[in-house]
Amino acid sequence: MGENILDINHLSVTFQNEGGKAIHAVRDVNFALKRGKVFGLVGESGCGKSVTVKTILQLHDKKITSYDGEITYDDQNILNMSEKELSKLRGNHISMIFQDSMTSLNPLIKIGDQITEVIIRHQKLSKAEAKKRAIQIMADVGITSPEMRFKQYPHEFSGGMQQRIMIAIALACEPTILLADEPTTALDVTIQAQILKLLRNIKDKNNMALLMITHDLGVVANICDEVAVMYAGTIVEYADVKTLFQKPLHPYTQGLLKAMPQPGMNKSRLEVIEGQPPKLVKSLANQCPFAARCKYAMEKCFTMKPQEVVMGDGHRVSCHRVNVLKEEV
Amino acid sequence: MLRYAIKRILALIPILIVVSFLIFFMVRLAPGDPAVNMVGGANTSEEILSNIRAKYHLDKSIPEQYTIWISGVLKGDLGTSYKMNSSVVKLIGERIPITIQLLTMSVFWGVLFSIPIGVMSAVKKNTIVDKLLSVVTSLSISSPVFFTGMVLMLIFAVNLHLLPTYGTGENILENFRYMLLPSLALGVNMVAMNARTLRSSMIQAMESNYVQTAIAKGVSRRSIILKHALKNSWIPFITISGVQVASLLGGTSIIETTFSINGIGSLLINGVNTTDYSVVQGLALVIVIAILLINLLVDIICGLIDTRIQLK
Amino acid sequence: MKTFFRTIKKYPLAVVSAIILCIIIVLTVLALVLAPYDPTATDILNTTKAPDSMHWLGTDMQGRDVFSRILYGGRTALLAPLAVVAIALVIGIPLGLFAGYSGGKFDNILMRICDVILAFPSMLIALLTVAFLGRGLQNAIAVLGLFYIPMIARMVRAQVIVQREQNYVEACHAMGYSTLRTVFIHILPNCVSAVIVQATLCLGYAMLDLAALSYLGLGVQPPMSDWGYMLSEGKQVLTFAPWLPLSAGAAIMITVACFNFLGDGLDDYLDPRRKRV
Repeated sequence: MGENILDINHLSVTFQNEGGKAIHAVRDVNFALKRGKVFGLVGESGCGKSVTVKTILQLHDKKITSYDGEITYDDQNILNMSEKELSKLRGNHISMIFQDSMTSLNPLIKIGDQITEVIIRHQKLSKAEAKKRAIQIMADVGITSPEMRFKQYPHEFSGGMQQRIMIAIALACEPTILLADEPTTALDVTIQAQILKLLRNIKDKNNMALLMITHDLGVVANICDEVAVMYAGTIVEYADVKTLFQKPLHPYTQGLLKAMPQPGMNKSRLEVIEGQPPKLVKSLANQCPFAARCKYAMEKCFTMKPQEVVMGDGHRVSCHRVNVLKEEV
Repeated sequence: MLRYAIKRILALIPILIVVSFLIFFMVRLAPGDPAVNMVGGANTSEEILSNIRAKYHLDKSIPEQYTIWISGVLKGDLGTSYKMNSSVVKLIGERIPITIQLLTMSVFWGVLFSIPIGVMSAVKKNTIVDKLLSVVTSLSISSPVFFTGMVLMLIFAVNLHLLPTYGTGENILENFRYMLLPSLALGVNMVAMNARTLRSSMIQAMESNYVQTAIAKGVSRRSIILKHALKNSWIPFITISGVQVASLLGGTSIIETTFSINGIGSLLINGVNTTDYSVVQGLALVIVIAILLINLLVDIICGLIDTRIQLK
Repeated sequence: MKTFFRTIKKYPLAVVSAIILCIIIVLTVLALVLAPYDPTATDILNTTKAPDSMHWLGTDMQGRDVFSRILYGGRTALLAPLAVVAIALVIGIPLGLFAGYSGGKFDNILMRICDVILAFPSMLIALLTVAFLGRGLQNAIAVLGLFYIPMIARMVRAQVIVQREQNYVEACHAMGYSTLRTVFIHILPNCVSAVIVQATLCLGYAMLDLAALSYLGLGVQPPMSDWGYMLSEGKQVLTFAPWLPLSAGAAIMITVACFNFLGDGLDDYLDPRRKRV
């Protein structure tokens, strides 16, 4: 069920900061996107989830970024693509929507022109045809009276409507993959639910793969099929959404879930994960990145990096206590 | 848009009233008896002096003099030049076309040079190209306008005989040749500031989220620079251009003196040198109005580019 | 020493500019010793002579040695901008400090006035004012000094507004320090780097404005030697004795460029966090 459409293998991303220090933002990450499925990437801010997703479209400043591993799309490694090949991929085969729709739309260009730009660029339609198509998509994403709104500027739209426009731009060329970087974080809860519903409908309609970045487990539960939990640049646990919520194995995932409010739960029972994630300039090759904050940490956790263990149901986890954990659950 | 423009114009009226006060009283600040200053000699007979006083209303109180002047101004009469025995409006009217041509050409050069320099140094920021451009433009504002003018004159007129040395031609067309060097000297002066402003706003735009969106859309780099980033850099660029044009107005008197151009700049220097009150007063007013109009134009253009400005 | 070389490597233009400025200052200070001729001594037999071994930069219309006049003229050309900036600093700093610190009506009115003054070309207002107050170097300095106040006051105010929110200012309140003490002893030192940068840049602007006034005959009066004035003399002989305007113009241009490069370099050096993009 569902073919792999994008494969990320052993991806590492390293930035050079101004002082010349290397920042290991993403370390040896593996996952795949499947047609018609929603893949969630969860973690605290700064854990490397945004970096991973932007890497798929090569949005980082080339001068300060180095990559390792491969991202395979359509039998090609995106990391080796030329700028020209990339620009054919971006917005056409793989699209992206961003967290802050307000600043992610060009304030001085009319909404309509921002949508037709991507259509004309990739589909070589005439201006009039592109406009027709743009208005159709605007209607599809739930913009009322799209003809009138076509001529308006971003500041004339509300936050939720701006995000719908962002989605319209992303979907204009019917991409096979949609990357969504915290698309609902800046929105009200009610609007958030509408946008998620829209994304799910569109995903089903176009049979595309959706990669959803979020720090909100509620969003994960709502929309995702599979989830990877990221911590300090690595994926610590990977499972389908049901398994993850019912049988979380990694202490960090467990911590995240316990920190999530449940209906009917006493507020004082919310647990927090003490401490801070490690600095990304540190080499974490010889330890578990979570060791310093883990309440089960053993000596081994500080001297050896845990291997990823794959269980029968595709559940993957990187923890030295994996055997103990399995029994507990 | 119209409402916005009208609002801006109405806001100018109080400023104009204050400025007219200032100009009038500044001229009266001059030490000594204005009548004596006008004739230029201390040995003039009392009779001639009192004639002059009566003719130029100098025998009346300062508020009265102001009322006479300002009511004249409102009727389009800026008084009579004592030295040139001609109406100030006529003098200015005769000389303003050449100055406008000079200024327009200067702004043309300034904009023509600063846009590619600004865009180039933003796109190649912190590279050797960027640093070189910054050094060259810094050097260009370090040279006094009249010196730049003289050097250009020396190279292109005196040595290469490509262009006329100084003066003006018979008509507008001919004047393009005559104004080439002076406008270049003046225009180069605005390049540094404009290019610098454009560079920093372009860099800011290139790092913005909407440019990231554009990249993610697969828009070509060329289109990102020229369409997305440049469009968002016009407002600071136009604003600084307005300021620069105002300072070019100050530069015209210097460059017109250097190139012997009979424009309002040299008229002003002439008036100053011969203590011709009505000329200086009238010109000061015209220049102030010109600067205010330039600011208005800048506001309107910015309002057209970014409709959000009109809402404020 | 190591840091010295690193500074040179990081800000080559600013360091070179500082060195050139030092050389220029030394040359003008030692003009009395270094000048081969009396700058006012005329020589009717040797007028507008091209540069040679006797007169390194040639002679002017009255046979005066251009090199000697450049050296002596440098004194006026350097001291006058210094005086302009000094006036602007002495008045502008306190105004900016109090406007920024107290805010409110005083701040509003002051900034409005600054805006209006800054909207008009300083050259033009200076030209008019000097013309009516009477020409001469002193008036030119005074008038330019006054018109430079807004530039300084505004910049200081902007600094103070940032500083005002800092914890140490709150600490000053808590200690019960007087406003005067808080502003001058505690806030001012934190604005010094910005003031130095702005003052350096203003020195360049002042030099250009003064040269322009002298060029128009409103600043330095003969027989004083000054670069700006030499340029206006030079204009008349441009076609047959170009070395006269060229030397004076080059002197102004080099000095102003050095002030600009030094100012930009100091800006980067003193405040590396706010790197100029």
